[in-house]
Amino acid sequence: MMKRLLLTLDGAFVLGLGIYMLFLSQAEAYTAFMNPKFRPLTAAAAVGLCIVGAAFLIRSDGRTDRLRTLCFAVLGMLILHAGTGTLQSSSALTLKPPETRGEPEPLVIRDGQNYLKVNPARLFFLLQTGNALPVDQGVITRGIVRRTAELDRLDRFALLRGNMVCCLADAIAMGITVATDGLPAAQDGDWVTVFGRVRLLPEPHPVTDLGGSGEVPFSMVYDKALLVAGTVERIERPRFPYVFELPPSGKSPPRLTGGDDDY
Amino acid sequence: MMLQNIQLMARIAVSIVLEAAPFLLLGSLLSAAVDRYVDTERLAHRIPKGPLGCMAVGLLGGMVMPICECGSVPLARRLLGKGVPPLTAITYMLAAPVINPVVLLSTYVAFGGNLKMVISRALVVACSAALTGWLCGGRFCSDLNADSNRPTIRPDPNHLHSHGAQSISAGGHPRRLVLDLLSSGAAEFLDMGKYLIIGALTSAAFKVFLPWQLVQALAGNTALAVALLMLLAVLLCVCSEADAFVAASFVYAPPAAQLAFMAVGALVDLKLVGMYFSAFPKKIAWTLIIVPVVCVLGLSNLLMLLVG
Repeated sequence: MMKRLLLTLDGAFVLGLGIYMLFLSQAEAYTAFMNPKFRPLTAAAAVGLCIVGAAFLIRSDGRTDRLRTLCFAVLGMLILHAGTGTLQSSSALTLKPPETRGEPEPLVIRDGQNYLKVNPARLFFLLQTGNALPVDQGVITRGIVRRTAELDRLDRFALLRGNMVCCLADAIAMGITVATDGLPAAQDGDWVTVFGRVRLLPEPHPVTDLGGSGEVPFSMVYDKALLVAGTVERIERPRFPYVFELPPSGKSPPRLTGGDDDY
Repeated sequence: MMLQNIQLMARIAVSIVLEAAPFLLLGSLLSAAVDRYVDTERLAHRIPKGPLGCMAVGLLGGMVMPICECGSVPLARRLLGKGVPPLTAITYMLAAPVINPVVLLSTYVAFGGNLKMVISRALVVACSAALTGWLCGGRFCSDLNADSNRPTIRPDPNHLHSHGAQSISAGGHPRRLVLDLLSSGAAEFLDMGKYLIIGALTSAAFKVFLPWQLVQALAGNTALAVALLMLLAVLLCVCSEADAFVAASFVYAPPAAQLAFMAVGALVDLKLVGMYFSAFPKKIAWTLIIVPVVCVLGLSNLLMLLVG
């Protein structure tokens, strides 16, 4: 009786995981866990899990393992408890992947000047891969402010954005140092939009006492350039707090989140 | 704050499982298929007699017959019993969980297309497996052969990791065969999945609750980071199909430590240590534990120094 119960639970867990992955792969909430680039892979695996789970329910191999049943039960609880993180909108669970929206306008025009929309992680990769922006190119970018004693002395702060390369587990806060030059200081943890221009530094200036940003405990700041701010505006947290940049995207940036959310 | 951290930990753990699940499923289905349709006895007669040939077959066996590490020990034992040279069987046992397309592909994806990491992982594991296989096959050959008929780990006919040819000739209705295969794949997924879940949860806890100062100290000292992540790999027992994703989540550790984590985890972990001592003589078991650890420690540091 107990053996049958454990085997049924095992099969149900595999089937349940497949159904969960299938649903998640089509929902906006996927971006709270994974880079949307992997949606097709997750969906394909989900279908596979549903099939093998159903097969296991029909005809199991007869061998039980309480530890594995317990582990999958724990996974079920983790899934129920995980939520969707900072993606708390009511539409987070709707079946409408955000990256299917149209190609965003790459520029913002303000006071007669063009500003290229680029998130801090993409800016990091653009600079890191040697695709430096033209000196006179204005940039608009959004991120979380991180202040340290060392940066405060220099009238600067770090602007970071959580970048999910593959999944949340490997997310890193990436960005650049912003020189405010007398502008009102933003508070640590604020979300801000910065209009400015990139200035290359003659010597690298690494920031060593920086923690993470929001839910991402580790950070990388590009240390061979500054973003000289013209304007720093405090904003509400964007709909998609994470970005999904891959190193090669410095040359060919993907527009995964689309629309105004893509910077 | 504590509740938020626990929720974040849950989300990180789930994301690791979501990322690894497709590869784990693919590996499970492949493994189940190989388990049922590859005739190991016929294979034994086709293995070259020279040491280099034996080693090459052992190293490349995983490319055509991939299997997880928990399946490779009883399989190697069975191969030995069927007359496959120890050099081939031991090298295959250690290399197959990593030197196979599924694991190499998952490593490629986990590290965002970093080919250096994929090649380094394959090289470190291949060298460690070949050296261990050579030591086991040479120095302790007599021990191994004398002991190879000991019925310590007998393949359970109901267990997925029973790698015999009996199922090939078993025949049966095609629909039933497909159902058996899928069910075996599910059971393999469940068996391996438990280590993935434990590893993902531990890794997530490590990431969320580890003090930042300690992480900085760990990241700042390459030698210490390598040793610590190797220890973690032994304790976590993460499946080789999923460990690349767990290793990639240690973003604060140097690449040498991530490489060592991936390499040693497939060669030596807590569940494998028990199986080694059950399946082989003590001398062999100790060789299977000590030699890979020393090799990985040295080669990971050396490779990362050379290729960056």
